[in-house]
Amino acid sequence: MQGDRTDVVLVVEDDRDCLDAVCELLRFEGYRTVAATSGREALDYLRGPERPELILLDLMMPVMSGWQLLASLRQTAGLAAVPVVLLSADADLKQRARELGVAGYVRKPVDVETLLNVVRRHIGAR
Amino acid sequence: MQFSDGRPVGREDVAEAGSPKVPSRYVLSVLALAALYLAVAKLGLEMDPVSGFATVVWPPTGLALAALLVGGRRLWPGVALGAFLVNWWIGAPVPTALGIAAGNTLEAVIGAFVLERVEFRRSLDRLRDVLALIGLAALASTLVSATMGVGSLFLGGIVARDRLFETWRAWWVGDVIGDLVVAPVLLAWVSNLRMSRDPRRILEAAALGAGLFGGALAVFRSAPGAEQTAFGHVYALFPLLIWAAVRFGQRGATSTTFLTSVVAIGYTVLGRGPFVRPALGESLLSLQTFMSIVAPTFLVLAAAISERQGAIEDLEGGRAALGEVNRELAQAVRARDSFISMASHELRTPLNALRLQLAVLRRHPRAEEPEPPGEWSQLLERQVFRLTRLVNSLLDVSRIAAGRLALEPEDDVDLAAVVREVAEQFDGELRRACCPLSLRAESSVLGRWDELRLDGVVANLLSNGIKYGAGKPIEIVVEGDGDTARLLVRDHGIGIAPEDQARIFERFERGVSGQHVGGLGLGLWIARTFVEALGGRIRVESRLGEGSTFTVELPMRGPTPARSATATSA
Repeated sequence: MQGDRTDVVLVVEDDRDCLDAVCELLRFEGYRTVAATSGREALDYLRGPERPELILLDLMMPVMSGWQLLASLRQTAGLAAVPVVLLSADADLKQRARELGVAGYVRKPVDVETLLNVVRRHIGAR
Repeated sequence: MQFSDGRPVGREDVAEAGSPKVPSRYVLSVLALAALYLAVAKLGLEMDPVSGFATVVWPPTGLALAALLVGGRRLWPGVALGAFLVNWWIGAPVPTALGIAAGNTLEAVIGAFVLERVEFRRSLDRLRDVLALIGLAALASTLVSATMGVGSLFLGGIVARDRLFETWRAWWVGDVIGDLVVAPVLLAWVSNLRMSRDPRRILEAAALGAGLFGGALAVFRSAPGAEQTAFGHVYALFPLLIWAAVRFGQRGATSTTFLTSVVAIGYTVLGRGPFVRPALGESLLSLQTFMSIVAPTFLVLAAAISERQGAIEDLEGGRAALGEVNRELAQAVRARDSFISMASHELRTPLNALRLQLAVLRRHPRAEEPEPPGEWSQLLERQVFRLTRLVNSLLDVSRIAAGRLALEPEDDVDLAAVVREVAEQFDGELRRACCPLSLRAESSVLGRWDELRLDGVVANLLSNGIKYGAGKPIEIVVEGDGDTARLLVRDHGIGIAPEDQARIFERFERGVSGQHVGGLGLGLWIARTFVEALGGRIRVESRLGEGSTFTVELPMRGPTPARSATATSA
């Protein structure tokens, strides 16, 4: 399975309104999306057979935060290479992204074109 | 003195004698002072008194002043008795001795009175105390004694008219030196008897004492200098006197001045040292000059040093206090910064949803996937509701912080109706969070309340329950017993650890870390502030992992005026 293109974007976001809107938007653009409302849900999905090509990750979440999920990803073979883009309202997002060594970041409130450009850059246009 | 030296006079003895205790002790003090006065006066009279009575140094003046300052002016009979006895003893007729004694007594009483009036401090650790002692007591009050004493001698026919001035001057300067040399050393030691236990301090004091004593011997025992000036020799002692003032304060300065004076007087009387002149009277006059310069100099120096040290200590204390204030300020700034960053986070979340939903709406391929417009407007309304509540919270906070939380209580406000209304507003939030709400309320619970604040209490508690409710059912109970209304909001979520249960009602405090749940840490604080303004109480019972129950109790008659007044300034 590894190496195959799945076209899946995993969206991890605890605010359901935001989560639904991001997923719907990406679906309109032709991507497949998987929604998770916490780091725990995301990890459950990632333990399955499918590998997403990109993870859009909120930081502040109950149950398991973005920081905790990232730490888990880094320790799991095969998952450490999946690019992660932070999607957060954190005031120091740029610095957080640098500290965490992620592929990129998008600030909330999200500028839709910025979001789509980031996704295109990582898995190509649909 | 003989009373205390002989048989100890116990309280029982006094009581047996039938006299009241306090006067007995007083009488003893007076007699002791008189005896001491007599002894010290005899010492002074050993030094060739001018006209037989006016001594070069009159130590009893200093003793009397110190005694009245420490023991109170009511001890004056001791001075009078001592002064009368000593003058009568050395041959003054009774009327003359009485006159002299009256002068000596008045001098001490006036000196003590005037010093007390200017709030003189006996420790002499301020410049003003030293200047008051020099000016008001030593220079001024002594004029009384000199004038009355010499006047009595003249009237008694003991002093001739042509020796009047000489006698008066010797008397006066002798008394001045008594106040400058004897009184300060007594006062400095009485006001601070504590001895240092630091071996280095003790060693230093011993070295200083020995050095000064040796130096004084060397200076004052020397054979009368042929052509040397009197002060040529005594300069050698100044470094030691300065050392005493700098390192040992007023006790050091007064003790060394006293010691130097004793040695100087002793040897000058014996006809040795730099002050010796062909006639003893002249020698003593130049000694007087020496002492009347040295004593005030080092008194002033020690006071200035002790004031400086006090100022340094104050400054250090102030600096420490300032550091504390700075730390508190820095903490307040951090709290504010984290509040601002959290507030912006909270505002961005619904804005983010709104913006994304509008983008989705614009790109929606209506033809393929028609959705009922009601659902869209519900989505948008929900974000607007969240934003509105957030802005209301921020306004509440600024009102509370500015002390402008004005209550407008009205009669017959229905708590049950308010709860139902808030529950309806939160319907969308509750469904989003998958928290079913069960509401058990009496048909109406009426009280005298401010409806807007009541709404704020319910909304903040419900919002808290949704946020930490972990998608499990939430229960609200509203009941009233005619006196108190009770509101219960129970969730079955993550719960609050016992150590956090008081903290969560404070401003900017939250039960969980900022990595997991957004929020301003203000909801429960606002709820508590409103509840207290309404004259009620709020408490929480909770177990970790099992959920929390918030209980609000409100008096149905509304807040008493006093309580609402304090709450608005909270």
